[in-house]
Amino acid sequence: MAIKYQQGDVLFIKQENVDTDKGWNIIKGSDNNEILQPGKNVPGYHSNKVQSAHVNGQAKGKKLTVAFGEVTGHSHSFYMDKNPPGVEITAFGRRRTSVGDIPQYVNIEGESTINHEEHNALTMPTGLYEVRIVQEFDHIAGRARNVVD
Amino acid sequence: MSIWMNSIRGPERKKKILDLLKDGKRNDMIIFYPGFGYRWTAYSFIKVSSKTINVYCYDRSWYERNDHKIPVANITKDYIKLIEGEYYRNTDANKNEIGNYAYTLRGFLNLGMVNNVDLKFLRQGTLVNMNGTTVATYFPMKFTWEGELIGRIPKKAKDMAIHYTQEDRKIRNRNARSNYQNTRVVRLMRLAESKNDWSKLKTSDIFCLTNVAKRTELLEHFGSETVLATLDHEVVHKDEIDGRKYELLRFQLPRIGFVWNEGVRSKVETVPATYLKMINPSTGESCIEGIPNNTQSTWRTEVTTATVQEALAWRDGDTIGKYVVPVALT
Repeated sequence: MAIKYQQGDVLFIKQENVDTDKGWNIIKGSDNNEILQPGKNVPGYHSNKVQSAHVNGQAKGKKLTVAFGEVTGHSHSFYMDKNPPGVEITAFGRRRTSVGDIPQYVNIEGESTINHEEHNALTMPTGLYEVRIVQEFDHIAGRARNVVD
Repeated sequence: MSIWMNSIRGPERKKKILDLLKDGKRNDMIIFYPGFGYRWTAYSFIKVSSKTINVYCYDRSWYERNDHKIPVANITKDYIKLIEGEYYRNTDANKNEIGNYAYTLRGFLNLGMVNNVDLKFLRQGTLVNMNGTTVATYFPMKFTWEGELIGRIPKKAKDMAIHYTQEDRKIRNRNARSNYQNTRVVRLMRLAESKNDWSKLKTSDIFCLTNVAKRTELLEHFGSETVLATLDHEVVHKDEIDGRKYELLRFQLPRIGFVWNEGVRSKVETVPATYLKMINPSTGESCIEGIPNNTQSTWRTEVTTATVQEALAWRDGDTIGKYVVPVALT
């Protein structure tokens, strides 16, 4: 059964037993550590665009945003200056939403915390996570869409 | 979405093809590259007999050997016969016999050699307008250089053209209604905030808002108890998961616009609408989010959603009816 973390409308689904024969590549991180990267054969993967943020390198203080708010201006972000040394977060892929592109996968090296203005901080262990936005149904339009706040 | 056709180079290309038919030797070949939108494809025109040219289509960056074995079109001086809708034969793209996306046809028309043709992509399928005749795409499709369809047009292609147009209109109307209602309520909320007069807003306006933050703001203004007391609803199911309370509510919302019941346009007063009421564990605010009346197939009209778990599983994209409880939720 999938392991799931949730902060508001953003879900992080932990990817277990990723098969490198099925389109996943292994890339080198900043400390020569191995990071799994989805390749173009992974179902639903659209782009090789990569964002990354880590505490020890020059990117200290940088934030990595995984979802944006529409009217509130709030965002679900990893603030690297709030995370302990050694944490490295890499985001892969691009999923289009009505309020901007969000990553499809996030690889977390070291226990790290994601913050949001209206939700309590969420701490997640090392792992590769699929980022998903919860959906809702619009009864007037008769269609499902991602939740936006 | 129509396609761009190269009307400047089209006549020159047409002349080259007709010259190939007239004066070319067997196995002579011309390659044309489509323009904007279809740059990744290439069409090779090979003379295979005294009166016929075979057209092969392939990807410019990568091609399968099979693409060179099966022609996508036959050309004579009188007509063009499109045989294949897609040139990728190893994908599922060509599953629909009628109304498929028809990359091959799109790229071919993009070359600009055929006149009086237009192509339109609707949500459910692709329509092609050949010299005033609108049909869903079908293959093999035979037409003249002037865009006149030749031969028998399948009845299904004509029927599906009407079906696609009607369905597209329904979807666009529904979206327009939703956008109109959302804009109306957002404008009223702005006005209410500036003048501190909320009298023009009704509790049912909550359901018109598409933004959850705005919806929660209005819900907090009225108070969730007031909203529930003033609107016709039933509590379908209550549950508590990891200390978080959820309620599955079914409202009878006033219907906006008309409904088609078995082909008859009828006005229905109310429609059932399922919502999940939950509490933000971080702030303690109540919020409601729409859930389909039938989580197994959202387009169905039967009202079957019965449990909080079922609603949460749909909301999170889990397997139908099997909600995975998050390890941590904030």
